[in-house]
Amino acid sequence: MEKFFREPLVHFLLIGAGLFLLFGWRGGPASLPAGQTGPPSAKIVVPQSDIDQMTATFTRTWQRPPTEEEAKGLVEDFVRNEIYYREALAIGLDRDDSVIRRRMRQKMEFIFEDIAAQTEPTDEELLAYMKKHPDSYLVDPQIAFRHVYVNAAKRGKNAGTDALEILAKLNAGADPDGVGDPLLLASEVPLSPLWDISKQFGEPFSRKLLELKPATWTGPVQSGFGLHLVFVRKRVGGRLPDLKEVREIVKRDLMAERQKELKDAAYAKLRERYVVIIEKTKADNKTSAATLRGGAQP
Amino acid sequence: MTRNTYRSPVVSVLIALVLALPALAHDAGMLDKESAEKAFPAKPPYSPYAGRNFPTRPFFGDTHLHTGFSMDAGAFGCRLTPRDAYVFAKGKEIAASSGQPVKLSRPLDFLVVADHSDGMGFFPLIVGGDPKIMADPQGRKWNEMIHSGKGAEAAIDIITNFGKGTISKAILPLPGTPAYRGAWQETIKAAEEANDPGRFTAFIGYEWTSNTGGNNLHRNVVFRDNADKASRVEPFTTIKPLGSDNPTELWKWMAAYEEKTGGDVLAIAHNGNLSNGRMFPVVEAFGKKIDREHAETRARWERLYEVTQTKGTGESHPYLSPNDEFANFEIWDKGNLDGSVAKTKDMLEFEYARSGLKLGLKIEKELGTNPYKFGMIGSSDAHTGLAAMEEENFFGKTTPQEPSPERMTKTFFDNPKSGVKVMDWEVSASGYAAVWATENTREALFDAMERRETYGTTGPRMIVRFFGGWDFEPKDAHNRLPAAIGYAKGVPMGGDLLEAPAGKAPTFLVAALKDSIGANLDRIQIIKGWLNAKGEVHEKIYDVVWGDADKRKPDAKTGKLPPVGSTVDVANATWTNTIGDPELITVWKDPEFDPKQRAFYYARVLEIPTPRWTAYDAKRFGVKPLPGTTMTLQERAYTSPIWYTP
Repeated sequence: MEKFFREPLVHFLLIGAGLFLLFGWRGGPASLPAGQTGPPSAKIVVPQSDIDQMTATFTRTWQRPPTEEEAKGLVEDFVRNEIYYREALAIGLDRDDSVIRRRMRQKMEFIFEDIAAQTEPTDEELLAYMKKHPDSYLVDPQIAFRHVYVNAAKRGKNAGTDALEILAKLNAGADPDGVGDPLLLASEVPLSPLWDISKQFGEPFSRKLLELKPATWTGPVQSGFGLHLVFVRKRVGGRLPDLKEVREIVKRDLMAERQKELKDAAYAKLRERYVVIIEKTKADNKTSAATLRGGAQP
Repeated sequence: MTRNTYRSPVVSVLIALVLALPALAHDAGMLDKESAEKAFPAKPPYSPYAGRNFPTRPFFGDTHLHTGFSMDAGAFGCRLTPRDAYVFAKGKEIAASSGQPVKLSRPLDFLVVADHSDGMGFFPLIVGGDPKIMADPQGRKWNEMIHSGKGAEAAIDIITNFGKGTISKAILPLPGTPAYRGAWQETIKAAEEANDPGRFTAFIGYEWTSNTGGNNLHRNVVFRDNADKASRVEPFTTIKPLGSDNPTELWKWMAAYEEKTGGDVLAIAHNGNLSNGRMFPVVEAFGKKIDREHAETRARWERLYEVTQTKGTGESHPYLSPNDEFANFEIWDKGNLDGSVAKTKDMLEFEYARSGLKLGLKIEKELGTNPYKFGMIGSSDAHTGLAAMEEENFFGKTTPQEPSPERMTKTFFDNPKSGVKVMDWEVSASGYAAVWATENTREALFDAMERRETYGTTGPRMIVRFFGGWDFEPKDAHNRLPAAIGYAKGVPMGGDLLEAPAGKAPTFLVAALKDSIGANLDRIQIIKGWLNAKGEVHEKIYDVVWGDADKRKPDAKTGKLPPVGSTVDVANATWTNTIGDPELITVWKDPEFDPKQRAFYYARVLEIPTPRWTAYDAKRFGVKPLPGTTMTLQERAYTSPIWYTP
């Protein structure tokens, strides 16, 4: 748990805790025992800022400002909303409404997401994140090679011995264009990342290239097409890139991770404040999976 | 707090972090003989690779993938977003909507997320309980149904209402509303974020879904441009008055977009096989006569046709091509898209690609323009956010069809009124688009699509070259750089042959290399279609090169090439590459050429038989297939044609 509370996260949690204090102070459900709600206040204030906003929304929708009558109607509707809202809360209409519950949960999650999005990670943090997940940012090794193809389908049983004969000729200085069989893939592959070679020749072949002795003809190496004799011209090892090459991508990943961590940590913190009693009945065991998947079938 | 945050909680943060990756502007232009010759001057440089400016490899992708942003996909349970779809296409492992982990055998090179423009982003709003949705009785009803375990009922109700146009105007996101704009912006942002020039191209796009009467006239719209231009418009829909179900109105929208932004878009039609005779009209469309302007406009905007996908392969039909022993392949010919009207034989001529190409020649003779001069691609049309079209790694057409023991035996749709019934097992694990571009960028791929230098595959990533010219000789097939010869002496797939030199017939250099992890090749065929002096269209199929040629010869009497055989063990879902060849290449000359007759030629490459996805499912889930279930197939590729015009 300790790692969650790096500096920015502590800040977020403090803000989160502040929000809860606020809810508590206002007498919201969070601070009251289950089943009990506070009395609705009898005073309704409609601030000018809300009136301005209603007018602006109306104007956007109807492409003109509201008439005096309409403006009065807007305010009246606002008051009606407010009264119903308070009364409904007072008699607990929000409590067993799945839509409201979902919405409330969503709003809480939005708050945490927004908090997580507030802070820019520093270069040090980005670098640390990158080093922690090297596989995601590693620049592939690069290889340049020349190869001679031996068509096993055409040569049948002899393909293996043919390949060795050709290898001997190549090592004796034969022109690679004069031996072997034609293939639609390039015979001279310039310095290319491993992923790119894999796409064209298949992954087992490209992995094999990493092990071959460079600057000499070797093989045969098997690919999905047949056998190849290979001359590795150049090999550049894989490396972790400089931060500036991948900064935006690392930042995106780190922010995503932080959001998730913050949400999980905040939830865990909240969860600690509750005693949860799960009353298991017999039917409880396997129902949920079926319900969850039920939505899919036409 | 009324944001549309859908499943992926990081979306809101990502919005703030959009990466504006500058793509290199690159215009490959048309490769004609003259420019190719310039690249190969009389005295070539020492390095045979210096000065090469033609595409050296095909890029594989999907131009037609739906995510949970599509109304129907969302309704059927797809919870993946455009962002998830791109991540998956780039080769990362993710969780499918059904919760199963899934990963491609290897990354794709490009992807177009093409969600339906009508109601784009609607389902996420319903699921999320957007306040506007909840204020409407219909929206609230669906939200509550979904959250009380009645998602399937809600889905069907939503789609039915959508089909009938009875979704409340207050909740259906239309262009111009914040909800719609939000969904489109998220689509664009997902593409911008995933686009990685040189390694992976994420196109911005959408599907325009004209479906009046259940007849499929859908088009996928693909942008060459980045967010700066694509954000200046919102997709064209089919709902009046903002949209229209008439393709001519879509073309106007496309022209207006280009006019407004200086950008570039193209449209790809698909599933003529479910249009009930409306995909390739000859006389009239939408009450208007097909005239020269109509033909020119269609030819301008629709340079490609999607010939194969999950809802069947539409190259040709056994009824149209009785002499084509391979025409009966993954055929869906029971009715239109919603199964409301059963198919009749007279419709077929106007909905299959080969027939469309032939009708194009006919119209061209009359009007001077060929409206159906399209290249070929395949794509998935999956509604899962997963472009997973490998037979042994097939994640279905819709979320309920993600791997499960049930999909071997379930019904996909059943309309008792029309008698149209399609089973889940009939869904195809197909296909992908292959594009011969000079580099993997939006610009280069788009330009290659516009010049039709493309082919469609039913899933495997075989490499296919196809060049036409007047001077190819048999020895060109033995050259170590066939592409250099191909571009120097001819035009690539999608090109034109004009002005036949006296006494000469078209020659074709054609080659194919198996998928590096796939099956060997059975044969390459060249399919010719032509218009004779009487104005009748014809077709003929030539086997031009085949595997196991030392043992396999055409029958002396019939001239027919014997089948390649089969190594498939259906029960164990295995096969071996002990038959067929890894690579095939030849030069072929049309033996029956008449310089006065317009014609087209395209190549079809067949793999040896392999297990169909149903065989893998039967083995892995231990399920007995229903009688009549297809368990093996010969995967294939279709190249764009090369046209000869006198």
